Amino acid sequence: MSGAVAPEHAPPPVQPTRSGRAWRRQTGRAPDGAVVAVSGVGALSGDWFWSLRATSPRASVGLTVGAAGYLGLRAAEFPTPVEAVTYRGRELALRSGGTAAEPRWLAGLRGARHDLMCAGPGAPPRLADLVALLADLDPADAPGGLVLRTRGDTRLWGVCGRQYVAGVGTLTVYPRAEAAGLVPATPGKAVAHGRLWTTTAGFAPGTGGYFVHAGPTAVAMVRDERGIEADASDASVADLLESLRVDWAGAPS
Amino acid sequence: MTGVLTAALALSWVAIGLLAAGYAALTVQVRELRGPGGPAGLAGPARVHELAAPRARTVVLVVAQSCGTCRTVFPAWGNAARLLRARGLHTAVLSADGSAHWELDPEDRLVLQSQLSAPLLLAYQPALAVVDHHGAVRSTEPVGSVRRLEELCAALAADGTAVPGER
Repeated sequence: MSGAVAPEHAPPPVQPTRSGRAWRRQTGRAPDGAVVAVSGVGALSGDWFWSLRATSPRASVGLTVGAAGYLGLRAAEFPTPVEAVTYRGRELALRSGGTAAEPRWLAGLRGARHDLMCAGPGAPPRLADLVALLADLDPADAPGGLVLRTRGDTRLWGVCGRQYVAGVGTLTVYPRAEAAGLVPATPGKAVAHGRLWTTTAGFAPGTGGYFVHAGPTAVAMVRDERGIEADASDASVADLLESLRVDWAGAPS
Repeated sequence: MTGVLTAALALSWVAIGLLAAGYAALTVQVRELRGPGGPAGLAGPARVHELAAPRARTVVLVVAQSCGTCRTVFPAWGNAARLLRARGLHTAVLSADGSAHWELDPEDRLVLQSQLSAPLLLAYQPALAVVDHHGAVRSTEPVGSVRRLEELCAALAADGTAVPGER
């Protein structure tokens, strides 16, 4: 596990904000052990949702980590229980869903603080293979985050963390070293803790897009939900983007 | 001067040779340690002598009271175990958490983890383990449903040498 510590974020000088929202800071430990901090004027949710990939000689899978209870929400999309065992005192359940033509499966390890999930298309995998994968990942659930202490040749990559910011949209944070491709070549606009760009990112004009915020150690993609979500406003977006700071400490080597 | 250089060159080659031989020896040792047939005591299956039966394999259902699926699967174990015994296999239930609240057929055996000279530590329950007559654990497989238990036991009943989980 990384010994990274959360970078210090100081609140901006006290001043009235356009949206009336307060400055907030959220820190989380990513599944690879990195410490990620986000701060700004806005309603940061507090709950992190992590996505990553794990590759070993036996498997290459996408994983997600959410706060405890998130597995129950996702399980609603996979109505058929297939198998379940107790893994190190926690329920490891395999469920199926989708359609007959396009079946899907969801495997989830329920934790006291965080849930670990893995989903894919097709028929469900063997429970024995999931147990072997968990042995390679060796998850450790703690208040700060669920960390995967990989063994052998298992590697974690493509880690990103998500926060929902009410009044703005979803904010996704990537380590700068792995997200260079997200940063436009143009200079962008200078803001308090980095540079800022607007991109449609494949969305049609008028249907939303993204803001790209790049700091020294992290890149954030902020979904622009103005015109899509009722509470998303110009003031909320401006307050967050102008004060936003993202840091990724202990990024994977 | 030439003589000194020649001697130094010769010594360098001797040193390179010794390093290469040492590296080769270490590589062989690492391969032996990693391999499935490693030296006794360093690799190989776990041993649970208390679960061994003479001249036959023992099929062991590993359960724990805190495990929801164990309580779901256990009622189906009676029929599955009778099928296995009818084919000459021995059966046992291993209580991983030491709980004795599992009611078995008289022919079946309940073994508590604390009764084993070396604990059988599995990360998951319920599990189906196959133990040979030497007490060596030949396989372990998670049992996630009644259907899976019946599939595994049917495969073992059809071929007592089968390894559960293999397709």
